[in-house]
Amino acid sequence: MDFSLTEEQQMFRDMFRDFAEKEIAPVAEHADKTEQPPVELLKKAAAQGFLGATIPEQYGGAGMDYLTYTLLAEEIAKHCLSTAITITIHTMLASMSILDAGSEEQKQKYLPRLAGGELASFALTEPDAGSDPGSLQTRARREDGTFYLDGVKTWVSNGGLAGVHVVFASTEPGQRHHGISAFIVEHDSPFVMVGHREPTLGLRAMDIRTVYFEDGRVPAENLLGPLNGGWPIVLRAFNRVRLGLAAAALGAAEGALALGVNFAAERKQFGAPIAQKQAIQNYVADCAVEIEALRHLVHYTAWLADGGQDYGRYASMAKYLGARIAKDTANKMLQVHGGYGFSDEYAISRVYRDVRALRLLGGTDEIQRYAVARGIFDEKGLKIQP
Amino acid sequence: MDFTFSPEHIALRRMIREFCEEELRPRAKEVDRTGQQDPEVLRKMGELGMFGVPFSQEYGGMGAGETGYCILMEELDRVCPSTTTIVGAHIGIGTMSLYLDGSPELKRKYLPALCSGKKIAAFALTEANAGSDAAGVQLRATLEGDSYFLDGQKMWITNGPIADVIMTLAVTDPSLGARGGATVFAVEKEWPGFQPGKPEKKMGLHGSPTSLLNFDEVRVPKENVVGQVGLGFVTFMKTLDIGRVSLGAATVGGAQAALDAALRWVKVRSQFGRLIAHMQSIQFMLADMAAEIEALRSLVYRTAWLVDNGKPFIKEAGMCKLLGSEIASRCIDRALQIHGALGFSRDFPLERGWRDARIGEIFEGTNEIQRIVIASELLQEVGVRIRP
Amino acid sequence: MNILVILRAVQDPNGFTVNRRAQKVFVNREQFIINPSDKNALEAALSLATESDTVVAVALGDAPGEDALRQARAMGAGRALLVRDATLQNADATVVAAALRHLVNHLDETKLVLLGAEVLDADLAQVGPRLAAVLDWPFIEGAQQLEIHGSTIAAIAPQPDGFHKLEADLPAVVSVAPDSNQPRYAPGAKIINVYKDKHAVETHTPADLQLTEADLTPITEVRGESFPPERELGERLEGSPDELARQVAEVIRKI
Repeated sequence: MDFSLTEEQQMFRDMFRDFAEKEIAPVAEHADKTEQPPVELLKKAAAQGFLGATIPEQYGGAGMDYLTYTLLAEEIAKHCLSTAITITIHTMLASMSILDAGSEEQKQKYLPRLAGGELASFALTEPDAGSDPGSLQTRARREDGTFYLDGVKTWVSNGGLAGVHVVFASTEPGQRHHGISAFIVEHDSPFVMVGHREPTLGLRAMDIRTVYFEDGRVPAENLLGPLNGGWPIVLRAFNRVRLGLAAAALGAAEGALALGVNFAAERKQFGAPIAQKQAIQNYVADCAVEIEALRHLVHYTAWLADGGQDYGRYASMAKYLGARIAKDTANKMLQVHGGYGFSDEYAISRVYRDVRALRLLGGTDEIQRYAVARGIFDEKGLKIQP
Repeated sequence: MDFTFSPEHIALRRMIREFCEEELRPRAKEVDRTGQQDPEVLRKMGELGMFGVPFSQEYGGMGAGETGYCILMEELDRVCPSTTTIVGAHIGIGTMSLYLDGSPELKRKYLPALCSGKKIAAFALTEANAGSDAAGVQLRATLEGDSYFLDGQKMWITNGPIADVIMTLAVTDPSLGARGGATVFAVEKEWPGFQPGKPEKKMGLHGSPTSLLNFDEVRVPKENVVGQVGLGFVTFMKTLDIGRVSLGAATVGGAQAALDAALRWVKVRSQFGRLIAHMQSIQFMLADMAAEIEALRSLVYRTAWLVDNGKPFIKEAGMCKLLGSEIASRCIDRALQIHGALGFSRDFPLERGWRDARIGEIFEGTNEIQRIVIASELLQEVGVRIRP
Repeated sequence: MNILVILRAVQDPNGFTVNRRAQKVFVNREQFIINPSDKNALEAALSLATESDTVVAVALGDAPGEDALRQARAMGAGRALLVRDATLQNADATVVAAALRHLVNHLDETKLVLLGAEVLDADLAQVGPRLAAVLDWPFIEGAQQLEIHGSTIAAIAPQPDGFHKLEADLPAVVSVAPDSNQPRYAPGAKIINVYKDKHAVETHTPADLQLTEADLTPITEVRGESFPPERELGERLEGSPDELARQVAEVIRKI
């Protein structure tokens, strides 16, 4: 087994690291404090090709493989989880769904825009459809060969910044998952209304909104994938985004560990740096061990995906593990900071707040556990229910 | 063994709970947003005796003992941790250090106003170089004639911006350092040279003002020495020991509030065709929360009983703070998780409790220090003396 | 002079859930509170009392009543009297009125009796008027903004045609409207002291007050309880504002 990155992957990683340190690190705190998405930064990222990450070059993308994408998410997340997730949702959930299920016309029309920096969103969640997105209230009724989209989507990441929304609606009410269709909706359509921006505990530099679709006309050529064939698109999107979020979790954990290690090496109490205390050493060691284990699970999952293999179970595992490790690392490293860990003047409390989201978005911890268990029992011929 | 609360403590809890529900709960969100508790609310609390719960009625206190004080802290933290922190610093460590070791004259001078909330107390120990290593204090107190002159800086002092009387540990004999050379002084905020800094910006407990304190040759009369010259470190460590019990009580309240919120939510939220109360994962989370809270509650009130009955309690007090802060963090985190995305939204109170709780494992002796305290007591019992 | 306040201890509604489908009331936590409008009556008494007045809180029954009385003492009532007898806990209004009449006579110098206008449990609102009748004193029902001027009491009270200011000569019986004031909190030190004091509540038996068997015999008999009938679905009216107004007027005319 060759565990090394290819030369190309190493080059990409160095480029990502460089960009993150020069462009992202200086603005992360400010973006969080002002709760303003770093729009200029996203433009720079787009200019580097990051927003078209895994989109093929023929559509204006950077043609990265999944492993390289995980390196991108990791390097960005070391400094700003909000930015890492903004980009991951834009790429792994939204743009890649168009690549995955779109017609050639749709790919030609939308992918170059999204790769060029126009943001996209993935509008699935509703007030009554969170962990269970099976029964959607948002309807798309068919009339005279066109669709009329009506409903409310909540917790739409990039909702207020996106130029394009990938929206999931029920085209066959009563059929639950088998009656869902996907649509590509332009943000500047007259019937698209952005509402309340969620004030959040963490990820405050992300734009997360309620979006209203008020009985608006969506032309038939904007149906994404087959009619009533939206659910498989969702499932494939979930797999991709879980891999991306696992990589972001890895980066966030590494960022937190670095903050804690630096603090422990500088802060003197009892006549020496606190790094000399066994309790501190234990925290650092435990986090380092877990981060290494997570890194290999993330890379393995990406390798499966790049090889065209079934990787959904591993994506769930990696995301579940990553969310927990990011939490534990941020928590322990905050403790290392002592009272300073509670201060807004030090970055660690932002990281701590940000990583809390990882156990909720992209499928909660409970959903990941269910997905993993279901896969295992499925192999034994037993179907388990949520 | 009688595990029931006395009738007076039951009645006291009922009054405090009503007050917290009517007066504090509706304001909690605003307190977090503005960084200030309503002075009218604090005044009402003072009138009802909430600023002097454990102190003897002889000095204007409520005479409800450590148990009564734990009840107060538990009930406050159910509703508004910022207010709990103001009261906790004022009673538990600020006024307490004066109460434990102050002379009767000094107590008569300040306790009535402190117990009625007309004056607020603070406990000034921490410095830039003296956090967990509290013995590293450097604030200097120099004797000249009838007065001491205090010079230096304290950091991270809860109630710093609002305190009227600040119990301050200063070094009176540098050659001896903290152990044997430090003294506690009761400093009044109006005295020239004393200046609190701006409130610190923190992740949580926004309504609990914290700041550095500047002492620029502040003149403190000799009469304001609390306890004995040179034994200030002992006074302060004793105060911190007893302060831990009520911190543990506060965490009972915070954890219980999280469990109550979770129970309300699982009754109404459905996914996958049924109430989430019917899902085993959720049920087990609730059960784990309840079990931890029950164990903590027993530990806390038994320790309060040890204090009220004059028995040794240092080890148990450390356990109250250590376990309490960790249990509260776990329970509040579970409750947030049960609420899904809503737990992450600032439109719901879960995330505020989550932010507020984190400092519990750090202040008034980090949990690492608590472990050292407990280990120290244990090893002492078997004849081994340890240093941090 | 004495101002009497009658306190009823009722089950805390937060402690039980009503399940209509099962036609059952589930008591999750049995605990008692002071009937809320009696607390308003107590607050009114404490506000009205001058230096020469004593607020005397009164309850009938057993432990819940005694706890209610201690709360009243902690809030500032000068005396608390419990007529201790288990059967008095749920007696009907005639028995309660008889017991209170004897209590008033036993105390003398009572110028005013206050009680809440509504009781949370089996409320017939009869205690006030019945007591006034057996004492032959005036009765004001549902009062707010009480004021005493010399030997008269004035209050705002609801009448069939709206709220009016009524006046009565003292001594009088007045029932106090719910939520008509903000009951004060009992200061902590008073709570501690009252609950530690064995003598904070004075106890009498019915015999002490010369209550006869006839006095203690209710004139009503509780034969059962049932849920009220299901509310019927209403009628939805539609139309222009003018049409709607016409339709609503028709409905009201029919009532």
